[in-house]
Amino acid sequence: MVDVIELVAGKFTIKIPKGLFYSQHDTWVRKTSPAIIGVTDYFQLLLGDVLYVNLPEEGSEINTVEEIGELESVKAVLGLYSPVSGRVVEVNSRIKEEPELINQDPYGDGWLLKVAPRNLEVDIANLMDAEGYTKLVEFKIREEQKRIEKQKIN
Amino acid sequence: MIPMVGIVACSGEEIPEGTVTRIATRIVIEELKPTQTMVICLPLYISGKEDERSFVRRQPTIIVDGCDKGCAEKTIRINNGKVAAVVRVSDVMNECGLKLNSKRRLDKEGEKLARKVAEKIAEEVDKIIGEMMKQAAAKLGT
Amino acid sequence: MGKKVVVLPCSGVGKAYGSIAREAAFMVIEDLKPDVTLTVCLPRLIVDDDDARQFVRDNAFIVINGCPSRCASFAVESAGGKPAAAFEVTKLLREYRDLKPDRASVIELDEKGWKLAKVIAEKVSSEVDKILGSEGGCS
Repeated sequence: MVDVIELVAGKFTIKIPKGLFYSQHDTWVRKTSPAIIGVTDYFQLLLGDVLYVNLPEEGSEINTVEEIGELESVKAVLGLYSPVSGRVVEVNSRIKEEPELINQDPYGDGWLLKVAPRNLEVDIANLMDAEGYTKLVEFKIREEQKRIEKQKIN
Repeated sequence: MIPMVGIVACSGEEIPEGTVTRIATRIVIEELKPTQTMVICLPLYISGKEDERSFVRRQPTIIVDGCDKGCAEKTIRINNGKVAAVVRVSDVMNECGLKLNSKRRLDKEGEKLARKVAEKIAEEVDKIIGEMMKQAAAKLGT
Repeated sequence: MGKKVVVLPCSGVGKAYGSIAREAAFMVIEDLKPDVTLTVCLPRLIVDDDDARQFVRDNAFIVINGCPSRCASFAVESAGGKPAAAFEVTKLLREYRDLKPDRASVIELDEKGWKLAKVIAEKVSSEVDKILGSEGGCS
């Protein structure tokens, strides 16, 4: 059984582990107690080397419809949307000093928050599994290619 | 279309030709062939970054070397990469009769040379992709 | 010839950090410390084998890495050396947030990119002084 789906895009191999649940905003949640959330390999590739991290504080309430923070690289600032609603119980303390962990290990040492979810099952019902998210990433890559081609024509 | 051809510039620091390889490569990647090419960062390739290594094993790659030492070409060949074409700045300089002065920033003549080198790389990209298409068509026909 | 320090940037071509490292190195070897520093083509350290190993053994290196991949450090270490000092553009960008380039171009740095390169060049120059000072000046 394959544990990680690998999607080749140019020189990059985008990894999408099975067993996690994914949002359309390229964040993931691991169904543990508390739940662990982070950004996907695709998100970190899109952003490039993370320079600055802005995350919610411990104890704050977050939900799936509001931006909860930002990750910033030299190329862009990308907003973070949590895949689950709940209370932040822990922020990855290593990330502030070593934001490169997000690039190097987005599903491991580069995790962002631990959250006590309000209603995990309801949130997960609205998320994608690895196969579903792979299709979404393929679609996003195709759209990006079209955008570049169009930009060249114009 | 997913990018199919890699471009590796030597980026040599000791000679102005190294600066030309960088700029020419970026002109191809950003302007001339943005959807068909992918930049391969030579220092990352050297330090074993898997993204760069596996792409060069899988896909044809154009080498852009500054001088006869051919450092980028040697590096890729040592590691069994697929070298599809080599463009040398020194050869293009001889062909076009262009010269380089400062190694740091290119003057007008240097910019002209970078453009010429970029066009040469783009020609190679067309040839390689044409060949790939032919091979794909032949496979479908059999 | 007096003792010289080799300033080696990664010169990565995929991101603007490589260009910042490269420009900082040129500022040191051409403007700030032209008589006591030089640079070398990074790939030569890998393909020149014996000559490169000798060169690395004989000279002190200051490396300027663009990103956490630390490619310039790796090149020196591969040739059997250890950098006397190492800088990393991404780390310095966290310290000098106001110098984050507005335009992440590899071809041409913007004003902030040039300023950051200058900051790095000055730090490298201080290290050059330290290295040459601790070795008792020119030999």
